Amino acid sequence: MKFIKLWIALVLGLTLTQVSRAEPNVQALLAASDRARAGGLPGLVWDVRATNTGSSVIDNEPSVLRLKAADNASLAEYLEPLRSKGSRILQVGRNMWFTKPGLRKPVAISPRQRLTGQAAIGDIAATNYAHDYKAKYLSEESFNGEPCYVLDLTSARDNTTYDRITYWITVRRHVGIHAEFFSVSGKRLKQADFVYDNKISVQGTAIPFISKMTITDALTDAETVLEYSEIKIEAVHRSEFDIANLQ
Amino acid sequence: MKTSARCLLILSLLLPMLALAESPMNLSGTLEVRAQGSSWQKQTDSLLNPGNVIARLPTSQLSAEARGQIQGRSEQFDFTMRGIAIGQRTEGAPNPRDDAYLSQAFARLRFDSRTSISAGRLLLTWGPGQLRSPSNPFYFDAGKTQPLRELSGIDAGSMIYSGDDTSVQVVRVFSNGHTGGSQGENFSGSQTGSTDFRGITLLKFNGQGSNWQNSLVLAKKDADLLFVGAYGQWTASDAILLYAEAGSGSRPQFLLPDSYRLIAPSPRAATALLGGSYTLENGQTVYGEFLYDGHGYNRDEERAYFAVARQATIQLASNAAAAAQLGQALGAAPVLLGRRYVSAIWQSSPQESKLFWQGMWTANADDHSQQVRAYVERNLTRRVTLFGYLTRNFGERDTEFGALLKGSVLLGVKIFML
Repeated sequence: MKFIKLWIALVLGLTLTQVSRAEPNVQALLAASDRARAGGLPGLVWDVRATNTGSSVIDNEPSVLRLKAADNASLAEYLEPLRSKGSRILQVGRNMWFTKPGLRKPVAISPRQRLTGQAAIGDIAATNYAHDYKAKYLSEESFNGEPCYVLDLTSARDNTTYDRITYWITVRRHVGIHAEFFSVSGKRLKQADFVYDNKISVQGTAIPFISKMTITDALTDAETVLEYSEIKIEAVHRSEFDIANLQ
Repeated sequence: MKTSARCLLILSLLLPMLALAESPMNLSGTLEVRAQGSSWQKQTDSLLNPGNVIARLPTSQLSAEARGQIQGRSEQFDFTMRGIAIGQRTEGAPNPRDDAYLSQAFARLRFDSRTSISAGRLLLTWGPGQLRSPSNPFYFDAGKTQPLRELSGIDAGSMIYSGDDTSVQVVRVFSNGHTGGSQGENFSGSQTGSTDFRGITLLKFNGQGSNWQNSLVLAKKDADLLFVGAYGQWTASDAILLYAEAGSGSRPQFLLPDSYRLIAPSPRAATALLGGSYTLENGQTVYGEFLYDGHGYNRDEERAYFAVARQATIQLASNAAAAAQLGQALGAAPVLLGRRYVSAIWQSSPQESKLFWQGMWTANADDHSQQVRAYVERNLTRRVTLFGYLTRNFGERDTEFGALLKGSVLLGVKIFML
């Protein structure tokens, strides 16, 4: 059984690589890269440490959030700093609410609200680019010394955080290591670099998993570093994403 | 504490203990201590409170408050207990009683992926409106007189079924919880015809799509009038949120403006709110809202209300009944005196780590009186936050915002212990 799984993984990997050398199957490539950022998994619980730097940052105390995500929904709860402890942001599709202990009721907020620094909830929750974006192969080029396919992603749904993304996916590991995010008008908003030092097991196979994301604002020196830990792949009850259970 | 409330609290403690035996539970807690000082500037020639002999409003107040919360979470069980203790000393008026109570105390059990039941003291609040909550039968007017005071829940059992795009909630209220004392004012805008919520059954049907959510709320108790409420919100774009709330029910009482005779409960009337918000690139958000409250007075009725008060004020020295009449005018008036209101809010991002601020302007479109409020919160250290709250009213003495107070100022400090 183990041998068959290994054989399938090898064939799949080789197929993707061989096809991609000419022109990769972009949707399969995107789906593979999504898995390393929790896309297509049944559910996920993880901790995220966010640190903000830059000349406009007046408080660089890190925030720690525990995130639960499944399908199109996520629930982020602040564990640190002390004054934010217990604050929560619920996102279901593009519907979002914010609440904290003592608040009269959850407040409806727009997707433009950020979690912390440069990070929107879409940056922290599971990535489902294969589902949410239409991909087009642009070129093959080296990024940080690693050969990459460069894809142009255009929003295919109305619940995406960004309108267009240029995405660098490594030829060998099939993980996204760099992304540039653009607005509808084509203005570059920010860019991100990804590190995959975590490992998770999917159907008995260990795959690389995101450990760090560095988001840099395109116009200022503001930077947010997100570090991912305590990763558990597990189903999350649908009722956890019900607004009535937020308080 | 009533027996039913005691049972619910015991239940909310017992369930998590059972849960501990079944699966590991993450326990966490918070403790926040506040000290604050407030000062009020009274309207000197008030028609409703001449010489401050009726309302006996304080000149200043010092208060200390502790807010603590313990919660536990496991795969199938949650519990939350949130307690408040307040001590207050006033100048220029009798000291209010010190108060300590549980504002929330409930346990939640998840039967399966989609069904959960909760029992205990629950905060049953919802809806996108900022100015008021027309779709809520209990908390229409919550926290508007003392905006920094935390709300207390109602003792109830609740079951929620969460489907993919729909959910249904059934609530049965067993006991009023801590709806009296310092929390009493939060329930005076009740739309169930009473502030006694025991025996109310509430049904809430929710639907949601990728960028919208709506809800229908029905609440009924015995032979009382049915409360019908609804709200909806639509995320029109990354930055724009549009929303509406409405409700139809009766208030605990209605004061006839020309005779000060009380009708209890009030006749059925409708309330509705339309609003929208725009979030800027920097996270700041601007809100605009319009509120219609059919339980309030129109301009002619409001004039009549103040005309009776003016007569009573003139007769105050010679007629003992005049004081009672003014007391009635103050205590039994509609929670919103007028019918039409507009409001605008501009605030920084709630996730702002160092400084949070909010400015709010509200106008009574019937009598043209206005209120401006500003709230600022500055984090000094990891554990210490300063906050300030300023209110300024504009209007003649026969208008809603000009009737009692010219303004107020509050300064305080929060210390996060845990």
